[in-house]
Amino acid sequence: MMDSMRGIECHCVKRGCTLDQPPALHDAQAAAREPAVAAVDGLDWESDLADLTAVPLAAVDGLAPLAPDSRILTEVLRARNSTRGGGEPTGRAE
Amino acid sequence: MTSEQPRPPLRMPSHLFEELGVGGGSSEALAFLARGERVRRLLLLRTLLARLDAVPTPLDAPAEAWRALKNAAAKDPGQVERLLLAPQTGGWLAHVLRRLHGTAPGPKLWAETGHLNALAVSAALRAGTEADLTVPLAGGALILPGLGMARLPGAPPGLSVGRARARGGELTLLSEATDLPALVLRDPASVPAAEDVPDPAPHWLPLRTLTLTGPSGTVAVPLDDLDPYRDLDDPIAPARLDAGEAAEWQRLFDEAVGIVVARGMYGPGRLDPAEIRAIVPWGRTSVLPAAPPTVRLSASSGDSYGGMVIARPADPLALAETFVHEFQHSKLGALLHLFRLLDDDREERYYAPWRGDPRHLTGLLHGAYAFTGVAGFWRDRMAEARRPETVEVAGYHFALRRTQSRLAVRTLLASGRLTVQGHGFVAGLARTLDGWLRETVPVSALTRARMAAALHRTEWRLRNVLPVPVSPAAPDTPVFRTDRVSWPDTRTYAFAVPPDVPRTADEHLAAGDPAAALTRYADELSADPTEPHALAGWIVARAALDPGRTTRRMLARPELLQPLSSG
Repeated sequence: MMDSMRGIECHCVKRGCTLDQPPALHDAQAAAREPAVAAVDGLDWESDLADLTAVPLAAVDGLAPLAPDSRILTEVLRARNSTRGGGEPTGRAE
Repeated sequence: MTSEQPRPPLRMPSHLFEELGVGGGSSEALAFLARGERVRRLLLLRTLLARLDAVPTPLDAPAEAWRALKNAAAKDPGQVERLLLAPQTGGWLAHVLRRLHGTAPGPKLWAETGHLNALAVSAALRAGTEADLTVPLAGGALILPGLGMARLPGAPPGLSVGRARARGGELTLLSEATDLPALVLRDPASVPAAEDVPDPAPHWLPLRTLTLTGPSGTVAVPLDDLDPYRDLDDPIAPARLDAGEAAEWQRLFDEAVGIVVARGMYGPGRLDPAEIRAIVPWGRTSVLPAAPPTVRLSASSGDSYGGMVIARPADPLALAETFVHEFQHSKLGALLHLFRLLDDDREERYYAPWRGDPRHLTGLLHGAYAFTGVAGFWRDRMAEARRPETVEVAGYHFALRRTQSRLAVRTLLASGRLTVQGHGFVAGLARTLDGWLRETVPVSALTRARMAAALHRTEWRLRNVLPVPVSPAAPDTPVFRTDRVSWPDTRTYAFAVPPDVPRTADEHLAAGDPAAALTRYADELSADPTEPHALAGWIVARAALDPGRTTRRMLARPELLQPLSSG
């Protein structure tokens, strides 16, 4: 079995182990294992951001600053040291 | 002091959420995202204003600048809102907050916080109000966001303090450091890039704009080569385009827009180009040397909704694809500002089929969303193609990106880290992709796409994953090599077109001859049995020739292949 592999030996995982599926081959099988999602038909999704649609820019100083542990501010303050990386030659996404 | 009243939360109608989740989004859905972005900007601005007073500065107090900005907003709220919502303003807000927090580098802090003064002067010029503020000058230059860059002749190099007065649309710029004649500009304004006119004078570089003419009128999209906050985080210097290069951008933009709207503007893979809020040209300032056909670099940031950094290609099709790709990032970034979609520990451990390195979960979600858009883009191109070779190329990209995106979606759904909203969102992507996976693609294109997907994953594992058994406690978490280096993916784009006369192993594989490829890969491996590129090719070629259990295992865990100690 290995003779055509030119000096390469296969160290396969033992029978019964969970294998990563190669791409492109097992989508239907994979979908069957994915968790179901609760239906939310007709409901609104509620954000943790307040609705400031009616607040004019000039009234910003009437707002409370974001709390240091707020979700939005925590994300903003995270260092962006991974913005340029990876092997994808065309992309830099943060 | 604040006197904030309790306010209701933003509530997104579920049908708009679902439109975004399947990869598209109507104008109503995008308008809701824009509402959310405005809320975020207001809150970040308020938070920054509360912190600026503690920053030592030679400039006027931030309260003075804020007062001028408010005056402008009171007179012309639309103009000043546009300034607040510009991608560059978002980039500045977030960056300066990081500076103050110690998580971003930059020039002297007062020069960065003092950008508020420049914003206030620009707002006053746009609204026709008055302002008289000290401003930071870099080499004598003052950036006027959304308008351009004024340069005071004879000003000292480096950072210095200037004074900018706006009155009746006229700007007067002085140096506070040296006794120089004032620079007076009447109605400084942006100009269309298409005019191919050299910059009028060395002391004024107007912001150029790309003109977009659509059914609802004409839109000016900034082609920003000036603003220091036009990149992803740290401020950068102006990189002024030649007039010819700017005109070339307009020409290419027109063609790309025509492509992107050809089959509609709101489904997955489609885009209303009027949603683009700024394009930042990257890496070249002249028409020559000729641009490559593909986009060598593109980028976007959640801080800068609607902005995109793009290295100009020569091919409008590549530019159109990039518009779709980057705007997908913008949409998802805005949605992530509204909702926590996942619980990400930021550990980089997931295979992303478009990256050479492991990604964290948020990065994987971004990639899945962007490349679902890209798959939709090529699906449209395949549907409208008339020539067989065009169908082949579009079919390849469609087949490759739907497959890769579905793999990433599967990883996300199986991660156990999605919130309820996150599950809803990613399940929408899965529905779109599952539908697309049932659509017909020319067999040769489909075969090459499957081959390219398998090659990338195989090479990724060989280069990133240690050949050790996985932990039973974490079977989906590979053990990563410590000697990882970045590597070029030379196959994904090369496999788009079947070679006429295959010579290399890769070309034989792309031409549908795995036996010829296998021989050549084996020859390459005889010199270096662990070379990852050749080894990945060998494994995939072998699997194509002998699609049995053994080769499936090799595809699944290619890193477990080891060279024999003796022949």
